[in-house]
Amino acid sequence: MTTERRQPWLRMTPLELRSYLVALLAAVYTIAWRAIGGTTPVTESTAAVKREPRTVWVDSPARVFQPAPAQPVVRAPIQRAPRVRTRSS
Amino acid sequence: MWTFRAMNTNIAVAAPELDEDSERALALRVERLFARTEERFSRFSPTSELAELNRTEGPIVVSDEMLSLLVRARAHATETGGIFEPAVGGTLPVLGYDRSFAPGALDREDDALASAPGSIRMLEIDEERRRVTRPPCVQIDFGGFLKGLTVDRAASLTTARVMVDAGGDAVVHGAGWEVDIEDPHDAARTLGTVSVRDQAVATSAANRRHWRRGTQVMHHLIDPRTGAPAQTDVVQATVFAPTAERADVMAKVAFVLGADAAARALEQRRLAAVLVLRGGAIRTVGAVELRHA
Repeated sequence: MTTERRQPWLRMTPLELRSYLVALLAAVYTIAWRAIGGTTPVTESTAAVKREPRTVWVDSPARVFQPAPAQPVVRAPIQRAPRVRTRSS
Repeated sequence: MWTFRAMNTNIAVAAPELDEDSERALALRVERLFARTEERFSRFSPTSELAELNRTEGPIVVSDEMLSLLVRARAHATETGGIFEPAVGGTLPVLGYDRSFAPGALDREDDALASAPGSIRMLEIDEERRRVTRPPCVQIDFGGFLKGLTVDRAASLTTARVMVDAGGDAVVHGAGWEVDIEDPHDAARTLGTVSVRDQAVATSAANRRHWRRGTQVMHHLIDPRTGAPAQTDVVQATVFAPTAERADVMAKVAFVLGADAAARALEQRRLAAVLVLRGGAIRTVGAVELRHA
């Protein structure tokens, strides 16, 4: 005579199994919802926002469009008599 | 002495008789003056008033300050027979100078196209209504003229003995100042020194802002008569004048005219200068005592 030992999940009652499957399906549905996006109808105003985003991020804007960084006024090394050095610049 | 960056160059402010806090406060006021001026009148900033003038077709009402700059620049152009010409702003981009200068940044493989430069004297300026009409061929670039003028204004912010030096365009108020003139063939060397009081100085040379366009070497000092970079026997012109605005204008004129014509033009106006010629010879004009290094 052989004794067959059932795996723990196989020892669930039909009621427990149904609850388990419902929870699993709910989790899958939630993940899919978040990944795909909601199905809320797009109103006119939100459509306009999607067509013309108000903020556009650019990795490297052209130099002329970059804000000029504030240039600190710094003290030069002390000289006994400051001099002009004239050159083309 | 205090330093900061503006107009793509180093600015130095020194007022040795002021205490440290007062000298720093003065430097901060000078820094704000340069920043405001650059913001409004740079040809490289698309939001500047100058950029708006340069792209507007038809009459445009300009600010009082813009009107003043245009009238002053036009007066210099007239007084120098068109050799000083701030309307070469349309020529420089054609030659490749279409952004703020950095070594190598302007080099291109294709050749430059010939262009006919406009003139600031072609602007219609209605001073009463502050209304300016620009022909399409005229693109204004105040360049060093504006830098010189800003240096003058900065130095007038104090009654103390002061030096304001914007990358070689400088004003000194008071006595006891020394001006070192850079060697255009070796920027690390000093050609000589001049003692000055209550004076301004400016230098024009092609050794720093030059670039390659196709097979030609370009620089930013344009001869308005040809629309091309000036090619004369002058390698560097240093002019001493009562204001940096005047010194900057006449340094460009001297570079473009060549040594003999420059000497005549400077003597007529009682200005002093140190000209470095091709081959390295030095020619002084007017009352200037150059002590060789």
